[in-house]
Amino acid sequence: MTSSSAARRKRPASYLIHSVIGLKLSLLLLFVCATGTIAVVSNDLEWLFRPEVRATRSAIPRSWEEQYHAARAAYPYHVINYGSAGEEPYLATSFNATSPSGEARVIWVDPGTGVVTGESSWVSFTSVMRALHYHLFTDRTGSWLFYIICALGAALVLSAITGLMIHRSIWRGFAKLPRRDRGERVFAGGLHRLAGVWSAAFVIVIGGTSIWYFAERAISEIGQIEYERFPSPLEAEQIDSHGPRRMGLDALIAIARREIPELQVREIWFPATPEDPVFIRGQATAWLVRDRTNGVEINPYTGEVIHVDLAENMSTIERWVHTADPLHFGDFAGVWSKLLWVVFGILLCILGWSGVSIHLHRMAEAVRVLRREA
Amino acid sequence: MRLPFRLAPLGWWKWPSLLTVTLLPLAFYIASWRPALEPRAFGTSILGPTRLGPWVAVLGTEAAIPLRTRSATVRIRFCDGCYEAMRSVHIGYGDRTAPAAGQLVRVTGDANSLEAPLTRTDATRTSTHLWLVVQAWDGTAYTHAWVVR
Repeated sequence: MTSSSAARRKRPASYLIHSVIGLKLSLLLLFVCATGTIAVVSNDLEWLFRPEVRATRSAIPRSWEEQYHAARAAYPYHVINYGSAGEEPYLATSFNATSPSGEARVIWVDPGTGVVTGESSWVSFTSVMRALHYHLFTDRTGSWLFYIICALGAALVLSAITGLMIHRSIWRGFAKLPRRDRGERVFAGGLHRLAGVWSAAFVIVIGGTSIWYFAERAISEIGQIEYERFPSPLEAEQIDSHGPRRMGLDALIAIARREIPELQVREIWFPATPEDPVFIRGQATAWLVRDRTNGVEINPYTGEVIHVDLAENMSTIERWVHTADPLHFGDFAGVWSKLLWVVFGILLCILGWSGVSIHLHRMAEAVRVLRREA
Repeated sequence: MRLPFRLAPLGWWKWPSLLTVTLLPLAFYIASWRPALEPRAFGTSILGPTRLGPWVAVLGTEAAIPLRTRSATVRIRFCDGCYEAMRSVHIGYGDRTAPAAGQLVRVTGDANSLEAPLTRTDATRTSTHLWLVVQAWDGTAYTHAWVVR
């Protein structure tokens, strides 16, 4: 088949849809995919250049109470709102706090030694990359760009489906390496098809969860629906008769573990006012849920259990709310699943670039043919 | 291998895409996102520091004193570590002798971000004092009133 007849060949609708999405949205998709890929391992990248986020490996990590008291002793006038275990064993525990000037700060504690390793602004490489990825710093002005970014998920899914539809042989495509001896366009085309078949399932997952985030936010804002239950304030009589001394953190965690024996504590929400309970959250037996899915709400003055959240007892939609994040972020199996997500993220970026490259070469070739025929 | 990297295939989408991934995030980072994370100003009008029982309190608001505006947000700071000894903190308008009945508002937030919205209602339209009422855990109440009108 000659180039001119190839140019006049009628393309199927799936090809046209794939081309339009891939070309017109290529820069936006490339930006979102690249920032997302970096955001997946942003905590791990910070380990490379920020000593305060590093943890010492220890067979017996220090207790939450010891770490909390170390943070309070180092910064007695910071109000600690929230404690979070490091995402990986080599990352320090972080205590989000408010400084006396009202600024959001983070106190870092090495769980291996119980020593405070540093105190820093909440603004970090991780927070910047995440904000850049899902709303380009526009969240203070509303959700408008968040919706646009999430809508790109639909474009990704459509692109993946149409790409598979026009692929001549999907199963053989997994092992077909791009040819380097037939010019740049053939190489780009082979690379595009190879990256496409290998990342198709991943694209469906990422695009699907993006579409869910769109729907979740829209339903929440329009329907005024809260997906998560917020702690209930304590009764005044209970506070007055037992306060102000609250129980120790380790004792509260022991109470939480009586309710959920397999609980691995990952987050602790500390009371900001006398009426606030303590919320101890973490991973238990359910797979593919985020750290704050399972939790026990406890009266810190009496140790009374107020509420227990367990993934297995949640409705389907509520369970899905807690599953979307691990699927999208790729952190469900530690650093190895994150690295896998990074590989797929790079494949997505390669897809974007190679698709544009194929188009440019085809256009150049068509121009050459037209000039020859003229 | 020379890699083609031109944006011509984007057509009409070229400039909106370029601006979205370059100038837009930069502009919003500088003008919106980063400033929102700065600690809020305590206030241009300061009341105190004033001793309140065993503690010291300072009030700040962006509204001008005398407080004639219909609504204002008041921020409160206590001496370091003092808030933990407090059961509750309320604020509200009143006259020289006492706060107006039913007009006290609970102060919310953690120890480093205490604030409360104040609204002049019909009952407090002509009130001249701003009352701060702090209750300790043993039930003792400490009060102070500032002249704000």
